[in-house]
Amino acid sequence: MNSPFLGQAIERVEDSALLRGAGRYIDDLPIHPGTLYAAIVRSPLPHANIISIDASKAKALKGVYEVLLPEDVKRLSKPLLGAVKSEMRQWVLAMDRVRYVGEPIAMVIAESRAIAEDGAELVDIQFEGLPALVDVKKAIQEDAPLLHPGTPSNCVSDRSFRYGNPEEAFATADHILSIDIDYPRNSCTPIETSGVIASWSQADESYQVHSNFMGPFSLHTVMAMALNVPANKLRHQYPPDSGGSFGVKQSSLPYIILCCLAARKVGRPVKFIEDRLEHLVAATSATARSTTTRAAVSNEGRILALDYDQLEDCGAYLRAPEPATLYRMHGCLTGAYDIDNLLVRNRVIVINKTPSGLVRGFGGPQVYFALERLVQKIAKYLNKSYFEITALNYVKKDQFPYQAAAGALLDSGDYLLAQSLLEKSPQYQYLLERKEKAIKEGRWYGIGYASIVEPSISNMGYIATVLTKEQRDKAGPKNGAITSVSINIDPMGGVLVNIASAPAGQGHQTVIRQVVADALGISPHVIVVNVDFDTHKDAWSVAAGNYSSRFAGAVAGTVHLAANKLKQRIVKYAQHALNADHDALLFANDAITDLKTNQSIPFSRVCGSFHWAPELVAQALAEDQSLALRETVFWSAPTLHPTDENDRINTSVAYGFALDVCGIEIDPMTCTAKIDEYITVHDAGVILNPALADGQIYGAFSQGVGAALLEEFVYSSDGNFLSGTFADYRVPTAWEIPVPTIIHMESPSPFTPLGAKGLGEGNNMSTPVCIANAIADAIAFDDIRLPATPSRIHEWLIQAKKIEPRTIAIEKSTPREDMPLGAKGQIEFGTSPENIFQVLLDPSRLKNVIPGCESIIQTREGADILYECIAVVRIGIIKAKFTSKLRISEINQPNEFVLLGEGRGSLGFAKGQGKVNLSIVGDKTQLSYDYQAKVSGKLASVGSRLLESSIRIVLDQLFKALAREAGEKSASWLSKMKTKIKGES
Amino acid sequence: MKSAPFIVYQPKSLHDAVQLSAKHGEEAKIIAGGQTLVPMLAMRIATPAILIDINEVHELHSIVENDKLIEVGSAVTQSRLEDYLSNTNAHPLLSKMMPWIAHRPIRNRGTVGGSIAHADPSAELVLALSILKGWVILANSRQQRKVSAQEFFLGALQTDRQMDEILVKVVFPKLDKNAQFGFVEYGYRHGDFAVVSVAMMKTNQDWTFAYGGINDTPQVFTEQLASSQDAIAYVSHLANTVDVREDPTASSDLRRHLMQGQSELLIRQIESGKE
Amino acid sequence: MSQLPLSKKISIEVNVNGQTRSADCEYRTTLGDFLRHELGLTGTHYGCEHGVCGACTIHVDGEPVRSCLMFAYQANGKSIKTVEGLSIEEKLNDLQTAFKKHHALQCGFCTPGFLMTSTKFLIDNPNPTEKEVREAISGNICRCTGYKGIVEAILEVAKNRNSEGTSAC
Repeated sequence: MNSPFLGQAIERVEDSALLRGAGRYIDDLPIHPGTLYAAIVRSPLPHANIISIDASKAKALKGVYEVLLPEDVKRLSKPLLGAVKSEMRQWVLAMDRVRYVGEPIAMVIAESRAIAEDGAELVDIQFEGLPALVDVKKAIQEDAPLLHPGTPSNCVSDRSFRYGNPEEAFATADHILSIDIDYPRNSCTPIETSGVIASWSQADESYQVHSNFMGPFSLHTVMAMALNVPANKLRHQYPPDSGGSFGVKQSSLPYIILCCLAARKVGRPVKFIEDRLEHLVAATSATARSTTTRAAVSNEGRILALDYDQLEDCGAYLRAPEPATLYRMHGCLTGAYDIDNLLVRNRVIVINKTPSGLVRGFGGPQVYFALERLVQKIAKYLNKSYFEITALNYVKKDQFPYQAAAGALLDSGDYLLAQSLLEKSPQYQYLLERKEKAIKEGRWYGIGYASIVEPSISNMGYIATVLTKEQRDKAGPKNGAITSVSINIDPMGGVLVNIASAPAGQGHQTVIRQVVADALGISPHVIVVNVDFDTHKDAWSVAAGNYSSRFAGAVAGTVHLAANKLKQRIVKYAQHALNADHDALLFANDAITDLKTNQSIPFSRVCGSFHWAPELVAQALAEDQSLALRETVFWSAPTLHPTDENDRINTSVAYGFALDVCGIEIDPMTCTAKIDEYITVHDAGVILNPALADGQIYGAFSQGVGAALLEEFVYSSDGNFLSGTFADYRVPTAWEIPVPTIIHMESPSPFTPLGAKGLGEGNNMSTPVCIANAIADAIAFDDIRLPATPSRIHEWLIQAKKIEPRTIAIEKSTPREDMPLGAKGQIEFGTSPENIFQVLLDPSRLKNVIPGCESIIQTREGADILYECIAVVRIGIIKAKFTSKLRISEINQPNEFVLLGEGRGSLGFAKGQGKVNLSIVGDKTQLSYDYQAKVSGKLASVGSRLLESSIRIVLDQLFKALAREAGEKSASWLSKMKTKIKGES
Repeated sequence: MKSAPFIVYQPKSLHDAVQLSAKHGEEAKIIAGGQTLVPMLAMRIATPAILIDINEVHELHSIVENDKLIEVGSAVTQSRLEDYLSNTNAHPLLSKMMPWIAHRPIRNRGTVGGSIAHADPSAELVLALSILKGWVILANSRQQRKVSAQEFFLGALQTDRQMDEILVKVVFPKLDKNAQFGFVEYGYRHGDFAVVSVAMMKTNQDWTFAYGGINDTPQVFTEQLASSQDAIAYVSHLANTVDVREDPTASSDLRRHLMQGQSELLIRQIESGKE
Repeated sequence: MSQLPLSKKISIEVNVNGQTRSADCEYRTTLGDFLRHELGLTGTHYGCEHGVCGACTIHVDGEPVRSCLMFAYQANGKSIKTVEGLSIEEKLNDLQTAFKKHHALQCGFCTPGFLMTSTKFLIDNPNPTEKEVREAISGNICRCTGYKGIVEAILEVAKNRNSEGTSAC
C-alpha cells in the first residue's frame, strides 16, 4: 500500500491509557450512588426439577434488598426467542426445571457483591434429581429422557442438504474415505468477564443498560422482546474498553435481562460483574461436535464429493443465535476446494451442558477439524503429499469469485501461490530436515498441514438456512449485514468518528484513524474515534457489534466510504475557496492544495467555513448536497443474498485464506506434544495495519494451541462440571506458546470498500487441526481427539504400538456412569463386628459417629433402616454442612450391609453407595468397603482434582468414628487404610 | 467470589496465638500466606467466622541452620527460604524443588508452614519433607510436640494437626555429605500442580525415590540397589505395582509412565554425574 | 464465640505509589478490591480471584503479589505500588513505552499485571535470556497477544538499560 497511514504498522492510540492503568472497563465506570449489586443463585445439579425455592432467609439478611425469583421473570419478561421453532422455552431464570450446572435460578440484590453472595448462600432450594444427558449420541436414542417436555426429541433440528449430484459421485468413486471426529467444548475465556449495570425508568417504562455485551446487535431485539419493551425503550451503551471478548461476551445477554428485571423489582440501578467461577461453569462454550465426514476420491486424489454428518452439542437450550455455529460455515463447507457435490446432515442436540454460543472461530474449528483430518488421511492413503492433493483440489485463481457448492461466494485468493510461498520458505525446508533427522534417530516427529478459508462479515440471513424453504418463505427473507458509521468534523477541523464495532482490544480506534487520515489527508492525531456506542445516539443496526471478524472489511470500509463522501463536499467548497475550476486538488499534510497553482489552504480552515460561513459554502455546493460536515453511512455488501430455494447461502462477504504447517515432536518421557516450528501463510486481502494484523494472528494462534493441547470443559459422566478454576481449565502461558512464522500475501477483496478481509479467526480454525495432523503423522495414529493431552497421547502411543502396554498388578475399577467416583478400602478394628452393628442400629450412638451430627431421626422401611441428620464434613480446611439421608439396607448381621448416603448443602450434592463387609481376621475385625459416589455443585467444579480423595477421607473419618464408638481400644491406634499398596505410606 | 464475613485476630506471640486457637476451636482457621486459604474463602468452600493471622507472631519467622538440618519458622515465606537457600547453598535438593512451587508472586506470600499444613498431594514442600524424613513442631496451649512427616501427612489435605494446634516449625534434614540427589516434576503448564513429581536421593547403595501427585500423600520407597540397572528395574517395578490415582487431570496410565520415565531420567543423571 | 459482628468496618492506611491513603473496609475485603473500589485505583484488574491469571499483580513492600489473595487488612501500614505508579511525571516509563512499541497489549486487561511482574523481574534479573523472560511471565495469562510482543518488549528494555548502564525504576 502506498498511503501514508493505511498499511503502516502504526503504534496504537489505545495503548497509552491502558498502560497507565487508565482503561475504562465496565467495572471502572462511575455509577449512580444508589446502585445495588447482584449475585446469582445457580443450579448445582445438571438436571433436576425445582420443587421449591425459599428466599426468606436471604431477604432477611441485613444488606439484602430483594431476591429476583422465577415468578418475577415470568411476570415481567418472556422466554428468549430462538432461531428454531420448538416447544423449548428458555427464561433467564430456570422455570420449574434446571438443565445445566450453573443455570441461574434466582438473583440476590444487595448493597455489595459480598453481601449479595452471603444472601445467595441462604436461598434454600429443594430439587428432585433427574438423570443427566451428557452424550449427544445417547441423547438421540429412543429411550433417552427428554430435556424439554413437549419437544418430540432431544434433536431439535434435523436438516439435510444436497448440492450437485453427490450420490452419483460416491457411487462411481475410485475410493471412499471417511473419518469420525469429536470436537470438544472450549472457550476463549477473556481475562475480563461479563459486566452489566442496568436501571429501569418507571416514568417512561424504559431500561438503560451499560454492558460489555459486544453483539451481534440482532440480539438487542431478542433482549427487548424478552423484556417486553419496544427496542427504543432498551438503551444499551458499550464501555470505552473491554477486556477481550472473542465472541464470548455474547453470553452477557441473559445477565442484561436479569439486571434489568432486578433493577425494576428493586427500584434502583443494579450492577453485576460475573466472576471467574460462574464464567467457566455457565457463561458459554463453543459447540462440541461429532462429525462423520466422507469423501469420494479419484485415484489421482481429486475429491469429487463430500458428505458431512454433523451432530451438534448446543447445550441445554438453544440460546440465540444458535444453531448459528453450524450455519455460519455452511456456505463454505467445501473449504478451499473446488468440489461440486456435497451432502450435509445437521442435527442439533440438546443435552445437560451449558448453552453454547459465539466463540472466536465460530464453527470453523469444528468444520476444519473434520475436513482437514480427512484430507490428510486421503493423502496418506493414496501415498501422495498433502500439497499434491491440495494442488489438485484447490479453487484456482481464475475461478474467483468462486461459487461454492453450498453457496459461499469466495471473493478472491490465490491458494496455489500461498502453497508455493510456503514450500519455498526456509522455515518449511527446516521442518522437512528436522523430520528426516528425527525419523533417523527414532524420535516421534510429525508434520501436519491445514488449509482453510476464513469467512468474515457474516450474512445475517445464514441462520435462516436452518429452516426449510417453506418455513423461510413464510418467515420472509433475511439477508445482508448493515454496517453503519458516522463521521463529524468540528469547527476546528477535528474529526470525530462514531463506530458501533464494540472493540475489545483489536485496535479499532487506531485503524479508523489511519483510514480517515488517508482519506482526508490529515494527521491521525486530529481524529478521535468513539467506540462506546449508545443505541440511543449512534447509528447502528442489527449487524452491529464485534463478531465474524467484520471490522477490517465492513467497518473500516464503511468509514472509508463515509470519509470520502465528506471529502466530496469539502472538495466542492475547497475548489471555490482556491478558485480552482478543476479537480486536481490534493488532500495531504492537513491541507488542500491546488496542484496547478501550488496554492493551499489548511484543512481545518476549509472545514471551519462549513460551520462559520454556511452561506458561502451553500453557494459552492450543488443544491442537493448537504451543508453539514457530518455523514452517516450504512453499507451492505451486494453479494449477501438470502438463502435461495436450493438452500444455497453466501454466508459471508469475504473469505480469507490460511495455509498452516507445523512440526511437532512427541516427548517420550512426558507424552507431551511440543511444537517445533509453526508456519502460517495468511491472505486477508488488503492489510490495514500489519502490526495489528500480526497481533490478531499471534493471538488466534495461541488460542488454537490451547484448544489443541490444553483446554477442555470437562463434564463427569453424570453431568457435573469439573473445570471451574483456571487451574482446571488450562489457558496457555508464555512458556507454552512459541512464535509462529507468518507469511503474508494480499488478494484484495472485490466486495469490501478497502479490499480488506477479516483475519481475526483464522488460526482458531486452522491451528487445532494442523496440530492434530502433525500428531497423527508423528505417531501414525488416526483417532486424534482434542485436546491432545499427554494422557490421550500416551493411550494413542499404546494403540499405535509405539510403546508397550504396562502389566499392572492392581485391578483398575470401571466406574459406574452415574456414579463415577470410587473408593475401595479395608480398615482393621480392635472390636467385634457385633459391636459395630450395635452402633449402626442405635441412633443415639450413631449420632456420635456422624461428624458434626446435630440431630438424627430413625425410621424403618421394611428391613431397611433410614436416618435423617445434619452432617458436617471436614476435609482439610474445608468444612461443609450437609443435610443428609442414610439408608442401611441388605443387612446381613453381623457381616455385611449396604450403606447409601445422600447429602445436600451449599457446596453441592453428594450421593454414594457401597457394600460394607465385616469379617474376623485373627483377633481383629476387618471392615472392607467398595463405594461408588457422585458429587455435584461447587465441590465438583473447583475440586475435581481431589474429589475421589475426598470421598476416601470422608469414609475414613466415618469408619474411624464408627470403630471408636463401638469400643475400639488404644488411644495411639492408627487407622490404616490398607489398599493394595506395596511400600510405605 | 467474595469471602463470607469473618473477623481477624493478629496475635504477636505464639502464646497469644495458641490461646486464641484454644479459645475459638473449630470456629477459627489459621491464615499464614493465604495463597491456598484465600481462594477457598473466595469460593466459599471454607467459611470460618474467625481467622487467626499468624504473620506477626514473632517466633515463626526464623531460619536456623546447623550441619544436620534447617529449621524453618512456619510463617517464613517460600521465596524467603528460596533466596536463603540460593545464597547459602545450604540444601541443594530443596533449592532444586522450590522454584517449581507455583510462581514467584505466590511464593512471595505463601509460607513454608502453610504448604505443609495444607498437605496437597502435589505439593513440592510436602514431598521434600517426606523424602528427607523431616518433621514438624506443633504447639497448642498445653504443649509442643514433634511429628515426623510420615506420621503427619495422613491423606489428601489431611494431617495430624489437631484443631487447636498451630504449626510452629518445619525441619528439613540436610542431605548426607556424599549423597547424590535429583528432582524432576511434570505439570502441564509452568507452575501447575505436579501431575507427577519425583525426588531422589542416593547414599552408597541406599536409593530413595519419593513420588508426589500419584496418590493422596507422597509415596516414599527406599531400597538397597547395587547398580543403576537394578535401580531402573526397581522403578519399573514400582510403576507397575504402586497404587496410582486416576482423576480428571491425568490417567493413572500416564502417571505410571511418568513415574518410570522420570525416575529413569534421575538415575541416568546421577550416573553421569549431572545434577 | 466472638461478640463482634463479622462485617465490622476496619480502617486501613497504606502508602500507595508514594501517597498515604486510607479508607474503611471489612476484614474480608481483598486488597485488590480495596485499591479499586475504596481508593479508586482501577488500574489493577481482577481476572479470576483465585491467584492464577496474574492480572491483579501489584507490589507490596517491593515484592510482586496477587492482590486478590491478600486481604486489605494484611496490607495495613505497608507500601504498595500499582500500575498507576509506573509513569514518571505522567510520561510512560521505558517498559511501558516498549510495550507500546512492540504491540504487547491488545485489550489491556492483563497488562498491569504483566507490567508489575516484569518491573520486578528486570530488577532481579537485568540481563535475562528469552527463556528466562518467558518463565518469569508464565504466571500471567494473556488471551489476546500470544505473548510475542510482551517478551520482545521486556528483552528490549533489558538491552537498553544494560547499554545505558541505568538500573530499573
